[in-house]
Amino acid sequence: MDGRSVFRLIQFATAREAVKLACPLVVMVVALIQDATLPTVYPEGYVEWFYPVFLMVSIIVYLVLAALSIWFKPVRFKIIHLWGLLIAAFILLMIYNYNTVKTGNLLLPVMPSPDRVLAALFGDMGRMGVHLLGSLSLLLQGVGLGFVAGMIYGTLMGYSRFWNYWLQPFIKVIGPVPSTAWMAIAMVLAPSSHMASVFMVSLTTWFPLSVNLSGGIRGVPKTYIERAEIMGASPWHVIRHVIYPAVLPNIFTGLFMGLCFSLTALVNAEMLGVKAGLGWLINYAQGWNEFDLIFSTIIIFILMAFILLTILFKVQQHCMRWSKGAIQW
Amino acid sequence: MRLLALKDFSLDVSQGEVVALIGPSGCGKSTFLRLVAGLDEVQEGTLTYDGEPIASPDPNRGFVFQQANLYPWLTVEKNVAFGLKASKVYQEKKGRIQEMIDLMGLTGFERSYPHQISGGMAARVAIAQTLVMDPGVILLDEPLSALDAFTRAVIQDEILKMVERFHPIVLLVTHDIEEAVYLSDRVVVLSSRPGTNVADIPVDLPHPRDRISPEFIAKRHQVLDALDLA
Repeated sequence: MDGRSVFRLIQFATAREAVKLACPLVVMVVALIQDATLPTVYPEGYVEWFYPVFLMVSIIVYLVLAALSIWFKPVRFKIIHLWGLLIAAFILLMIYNYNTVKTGNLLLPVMPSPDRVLAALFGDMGRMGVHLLGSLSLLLQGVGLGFVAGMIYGTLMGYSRFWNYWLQPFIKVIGPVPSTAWMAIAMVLAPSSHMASVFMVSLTTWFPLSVNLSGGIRGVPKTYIERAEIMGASPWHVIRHVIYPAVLPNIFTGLFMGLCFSLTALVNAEMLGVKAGLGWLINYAQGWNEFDLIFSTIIIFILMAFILLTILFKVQQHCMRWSKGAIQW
Repeated sequence: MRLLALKDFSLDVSQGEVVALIGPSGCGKSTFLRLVAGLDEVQEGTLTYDGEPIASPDPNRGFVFQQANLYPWLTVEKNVAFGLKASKVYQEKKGRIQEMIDLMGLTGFERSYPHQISGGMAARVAIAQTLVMDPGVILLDEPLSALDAFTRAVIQDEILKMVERFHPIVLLVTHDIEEAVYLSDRVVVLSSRPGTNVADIPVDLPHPRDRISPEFIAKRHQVLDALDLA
C-alpha cells in the first residue's frame, strides 16, 4: 500500500467517525426542538423546566466530550461505541415526551412526563441524598458482614472435610430460601429492626460467596498445595498465599452474584422499618401514588447499582492483572 | 481400594548420585518419588534419609512435578522466591534467587508472568524454584516430558551444570532412555506393577556425554534389553 492510499484510508475512517460522533448530537437537538415547538397540553397550564434544561445540559456535556475526543482516543472510541445506544435512548425519550406532556395519550399519575420525573429527581436532592446514603449504608453493612461470613464459611467448607460435613447441609437448606421469607423471623430474632435488615442483606451475599469459594478451593490443583508444603509452607501460609490467590476468580464471581442478590434483598429489607432508604422511598411513593418519585428513585437505584458493580469489576481487574483473559463488564 | 504400587523394591543412593528410574507406565516410579518426598506414607518397609525415617515433606527434599504448574499470579522471580518465604528463610537466602534465575537461563524474565513464557521456560522456573531451597535431594518427575527435543537437550545440560555445582542426590523418573543414560550415574529399571527393581545399570561414561558415541548407544541397548525383560 503506498502512502496516498494509507492516507485515504485514515481519512475515510475519520469521516465515518465524524458521522457517528454527530448523529447523537443531532438527535439531542431534535429532541430539544420538539420540546420547544410543540405546545404543552397535558395537564393544562403545566410549565416545563427540568426537561429542556436536561436536554441542554446533555448537549453541552456531549459537545465537551466530542471536543475532547479529538485529542483523546479512548474517549472517541467510547462515544463511537455508545452512539447507537445514545440515539435510541433519546428517540425513546422523544416518543415518551410526545405521548405524555405534549398530547396526554399516556395518563397521569401512572405515566409522568420526563419533566416530572426529573423534577422529582432534582427538585429535592437533599431528600434523595438522605435516602441514597441510607441505602448505601445498609447495603455496605450487609454485604460487608456477608463477605466476612462467606469467606470464613466458604474456606472452612472447602478446606476441611470435617467442617464440610457439618456446614454443607446448613447452606443447602438455608441458602436458596429468598431473603423476603426471613423477614418475620429476622424481626423476631434480631435485637433491632436495623440489625434484622443488615442480616437479611448479608444472607444474600453469604450464600453465593460461600458456595463459589468452597467449590473453587476444592478445585485448586493439588500440585499447587503439595509444592508449597514441600517447600515448608504452614497450612495458614498455604491458605493465604496459594489457595486465596488461586480462587480469586471464584471470590469475585461470588461477590458479584452476592451484590446483585443483595440489591434485591435491600429493597425488601427496607420494609422492616428503617428510617431512610431508596426501597423505603419507593414504598412511600407507592403509598401516595407519586409515580414520578418512584421513577426517579429507580433511576438513582440504577445509578448506585451500576457504580458499585463497576467499582467491583475495577477492583477485580486490578487484583487479577496477572491473568490472561481480563473479565469485561 | 488400595493398590500395591511397589513390592520388594530396594534402592540405596549415596550423596551426589544421579539415579534414573525407568520402567513401564504405572510401575510405581512416581509413587516412589512421592514417598521420598514425604507426600505419601510408606505402608510397609522403611525409607530413610541420612538415617532418619521420612515421614513428612521437607524443604531439604525438593520435588519438580511433571507439569510445571507455576503459580500464575506470581512473576517468575516471585515463583522462585516462594519457598524461601514459605519456610521463612527469605532474609538469609534471598541472594540465591537471582543466582538460580541466572543458572537456569531465566535472566531478563524475572518480571514475566507464567502465561507470558514458554513451556521450556516454565520447566526451568520449576527447577529454579526447587533449587533455591538448596535441597540435599532433588526429585524430578518427568519434568521435561512435555518439551520439544531441542529444549529438552538444553535443559538437560542445565541440570548437569546444577548437579556439578551442588552435588545433590537426584532421583529422575523418565520414559526417555536417552535422557536416563545422558544424565544419570545409574539407571534403575523397574518391572510393571507391583514394581520391583529388575536391573541396576551403572553408567560410567565421562561427562559431557556424546549421545551418538558407540559406548552411549551400547548403554541404551543395555537399558532397552532390561526393559524387555521387565
